[in-house]
Amino acid sequence: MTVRYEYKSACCGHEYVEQRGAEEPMFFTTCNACGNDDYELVKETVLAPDIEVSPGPEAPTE
Amino acid sequence: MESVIMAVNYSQIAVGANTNSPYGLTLQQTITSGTTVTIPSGINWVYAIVVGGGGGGASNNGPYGGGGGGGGVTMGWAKTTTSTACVIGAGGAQQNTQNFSGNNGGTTLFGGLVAGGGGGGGGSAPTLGGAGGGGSGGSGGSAGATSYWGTVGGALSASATAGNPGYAAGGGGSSTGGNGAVGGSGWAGGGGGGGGTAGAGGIGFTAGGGGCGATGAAGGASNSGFSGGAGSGQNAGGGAGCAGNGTGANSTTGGTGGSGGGGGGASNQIGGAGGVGAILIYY
Repeated sequence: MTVRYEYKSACCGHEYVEQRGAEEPMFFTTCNACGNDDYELVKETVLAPDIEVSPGPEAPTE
Repeated sequence: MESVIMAVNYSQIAVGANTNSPYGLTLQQTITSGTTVTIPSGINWVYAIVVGGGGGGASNNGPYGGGGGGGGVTMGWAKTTTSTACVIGAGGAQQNTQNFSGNNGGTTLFGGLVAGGGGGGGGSAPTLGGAGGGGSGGSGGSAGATSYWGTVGGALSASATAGNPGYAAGGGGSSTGGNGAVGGSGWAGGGGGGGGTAGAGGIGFTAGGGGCGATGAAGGASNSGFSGGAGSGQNAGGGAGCAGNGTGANSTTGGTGGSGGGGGGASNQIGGAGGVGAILIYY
């Protein structure tokens, strides 16, 4: 399941988005604008349908 | 006319709050899943770093398996709309069948930019910019794979040689069970070679997985601030991606590559999966 998480820095107001699998942790917790560790989740949107990603080719037998 | 060659130092590209972001822009979105990206109205071009999926680790029992290479890295201006299509490359799937090479990572696409996956461990060639997988050690082993951009992998020999740096190649395996070599370092780190003491994954924006050996190696670190996973017994840790840490190995399985193209660690049973690809968007 893909989720779009929208964050906002409490001190500088920078808005930042991570679109990732629901099971994945937040990648960058430090504000990308001011450097403070103060992103707050302001909106969470489940995107549908579930995502199919491009598979890598099959490995050859050794 | 005097020509100017601009040297690019991958270690100066950081993704968080810093002065090294491309063109002084700010990281606004990190995407590792989905088929579209929402861009605010009025923004028609963004700067993007596009990363393919990491290669998976090999699963060799006997010949020591090589680690997966880091996903390819492509960057540039991307044309966008308010709903821009994307494809996120999967990490090379976990290799559950023993004595197989690792699986290659998938290709990531966004706004006209393309980045291929890292090569699977066991000397698998990468695609479209990916790093080479590490060679497997022991008799029947393999050389480290050459990167997509032609950087030569480490040789298969008694004293294995390291993968070359740049768009990096995989480290060589040791043909006699001696020490495997480290993967090359660069934008995308090569997978480590297998051997008695296995080679570590190369470091880079995306890092290679470690090789498997009598002593499993650690995955490489990412210079975007994430760490490779540790080896455990014979099994190797996953390399870091540009958006996440590689995981450590356990008693059966190589570590998984970190999100953002980390290579999977090799194992004597189950090769670790590569990390999913990523898109970093600046405006």
